[in-house]
Amino acid sequence: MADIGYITLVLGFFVSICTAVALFWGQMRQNWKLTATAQIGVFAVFGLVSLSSIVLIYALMTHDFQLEYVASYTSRGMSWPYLFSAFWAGNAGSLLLWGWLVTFFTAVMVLWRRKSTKELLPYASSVAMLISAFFLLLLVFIVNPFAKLSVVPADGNGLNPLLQNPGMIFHPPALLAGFAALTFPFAFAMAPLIAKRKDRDWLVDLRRWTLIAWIFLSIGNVLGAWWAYVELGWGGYWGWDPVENMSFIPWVVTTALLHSIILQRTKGGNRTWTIGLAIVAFNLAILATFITRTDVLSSVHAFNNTGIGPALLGFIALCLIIPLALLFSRRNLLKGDRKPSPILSKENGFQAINIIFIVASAIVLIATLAPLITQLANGSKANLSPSFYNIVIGPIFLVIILLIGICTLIGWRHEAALTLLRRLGLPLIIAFILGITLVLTTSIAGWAAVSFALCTFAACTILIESYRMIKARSQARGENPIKALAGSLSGSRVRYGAMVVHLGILLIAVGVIGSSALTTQKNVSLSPGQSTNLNQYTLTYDELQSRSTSSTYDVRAIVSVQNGGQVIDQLTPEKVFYITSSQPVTQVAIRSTLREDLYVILAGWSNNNTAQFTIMVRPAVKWIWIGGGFLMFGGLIALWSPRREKPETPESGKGLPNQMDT
Amino acid sequence: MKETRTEQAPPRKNVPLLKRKRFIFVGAIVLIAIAFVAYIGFTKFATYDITVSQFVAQSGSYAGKQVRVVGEVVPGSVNQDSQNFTLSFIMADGNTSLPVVYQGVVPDTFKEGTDIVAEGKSDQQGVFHASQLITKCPSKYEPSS
Repeated sequence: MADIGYITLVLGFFVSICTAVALFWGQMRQNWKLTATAQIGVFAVFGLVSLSSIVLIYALMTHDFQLEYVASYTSRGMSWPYLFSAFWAGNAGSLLLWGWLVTFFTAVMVLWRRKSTKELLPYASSVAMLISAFFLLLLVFIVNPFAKLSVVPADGNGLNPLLQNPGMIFHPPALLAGFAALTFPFAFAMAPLIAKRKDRDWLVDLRRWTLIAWIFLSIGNVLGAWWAYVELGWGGYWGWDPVENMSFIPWVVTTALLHSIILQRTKGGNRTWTIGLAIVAFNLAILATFITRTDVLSSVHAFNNTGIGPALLGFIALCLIIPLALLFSRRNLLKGDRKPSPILSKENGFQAINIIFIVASAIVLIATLAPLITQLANGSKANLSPSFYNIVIGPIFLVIILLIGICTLIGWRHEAALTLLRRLGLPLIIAFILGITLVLTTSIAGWAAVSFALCTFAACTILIESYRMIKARSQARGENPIKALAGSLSGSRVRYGAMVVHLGILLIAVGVIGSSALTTQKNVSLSPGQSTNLNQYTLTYDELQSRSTSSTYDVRAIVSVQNGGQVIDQLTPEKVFYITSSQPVTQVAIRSTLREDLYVILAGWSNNNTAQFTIMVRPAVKWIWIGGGFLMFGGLIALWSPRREKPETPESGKGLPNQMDT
Repeated sequence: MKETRTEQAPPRKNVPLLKRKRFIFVGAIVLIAIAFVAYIGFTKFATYDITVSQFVAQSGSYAGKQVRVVGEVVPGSVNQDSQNFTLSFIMADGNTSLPVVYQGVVPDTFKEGTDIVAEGKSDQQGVFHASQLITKCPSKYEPSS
């Protein structure tokens, strides 16, 4: 059975190489028959890799411990969702999933073709086939998921208890799907270079795939933060650890790429930058894999050398040198036809935001690689503490929020400073009042107050702009407001999608600012019956309970929470000991409200049932998860764009708000 | 509004030079900004990874400085006073050892005999006060042995 899995991988590798060559050759020689036949190869590869994946999943589900992979990551006691998730729990399996996703997306790309870029599709799918061939090559020669053990063990090692969380089921596939989808902006950036296309129509395909990658990367990052928050028991959700940084950077660069594509589609301009970003984003995903699967950096996550490092580095070199050389040789095709725009215009806003994104990712990348850089320079490993990132990246994101606010209301092309100021007046006043109120009536002050005011400002501009769009439509067509809202929504999904995403970013910002600036925390040791206070909460430690199941032994503390004399909740922080693993797993107890999270960790206990707790009150954390939902939802709205896409016309971008102003 | 459709607009010949200048200007500012931030980062926020033996050998020069010491938790040396959230243990690297005191929640993955990274400062008595313990958790990408 397992042999079938391996054989299909080998076959898949050869078929994908042949398909890539045939697609390329067929299109080059205008041999349509060959191209059409070769497209069947795309589905053949997808079928072969799918079969291989099914074989691995079947082996995981049926406890085929002869396979080294199955024995390493599963055991008989595991429930089926975690058995299934073991598919991506290990190095080989996660690479197989990545490869499968690339072949799946390639098949989708071939089916989801557009007439005007028909001649680019063979080139793009040829590039995608080569990339999937690379993953199949890794699987066949370096990390075979179907490698067999000489002795079949009675039971497997099981999945690390820390990984047995619903986060394990959704976070890794989402992030891998994001990384895999970054193949396609790359492929669609290569295709017009190969085909020497001068037009801009392929930007539609580029945008589509960039958006898909962006949605998955957003989900993956937010889910990763959520998982760390509920599972790891340190009260935080982001630690600027290399593994987090390396999934954050591709997200930032993909965001920059999206903005760059929008700017080009609407206003023309030099496409070298956009194509360059698509190339860089793809290579960052591979670099992230290189960092997390070799032992070049030390981290909370132990990165072990999995032997694929040199292959990945070689692949990055190829994927940088060839495309950049091609880009350089075709630079004359991509020249912009855009007139220089006045300082105050959406164009410049977009360009500024693009530069800021790139600066932010460059700084995070350099800081993440700092131990490597300093080791090469003077032999000692320098690590940058999280406070470095907070101090540097925090203000950069505040500038981004300010630009979200300004760019929402600013028009394309020319904008008179006075009109802009008048339009920004109301949001500015509201934000100012909120800031002053916060400083006067609460303990929030300084940077936190400024940041909250900025978020309010940007949120106001978005709400005002959507109100304007609806009102303009209702006036122009004489529709009632509800019908105008529906019509406006379906008419400009891209714009509304962007607005929802921007609101999501603001919600996340509020959550991050609130929880990092206003957290209170204390460590206490309590005997049963004793109470402690934190902010408005009174926590009473009632008793310590223990229970055991066939695979675990867990100790839990019963803590009742009072607020203003009334019992509002009962929390049970616990520590679980797995029989198969010597390390305990801390299960935190969280009482989550929109206002704040009460986070209780059972740190330890003594023989006389005295228990030690770490208690935190972290405001607004829930907003981060809600904001994450906004990102996904807004991204989907923007992706579900009308069939015939018109570039954003000046009427919808600027004309209407202007008319209403005057 | 006199909007010209830019798609049809002919390429202007005098733009490239101007654009190139602007490009170089913006690029220079960006590079200087990145270099400045990186410089600040390395001078103010960097902590260096050193082994226990390096640390003990040059304890004078590291006194009072924030460092990250890498070593093994000596089996049998761990003493946990959970009442006061205090953990004390000895870290070693070959024959050199270093007493460490840590206050806070002990990471789940902290175990005797494993390699850890302790970040903190040493006091005058030579005791290392760790503010953070970084344990290597068995990762999902661990090769099976």
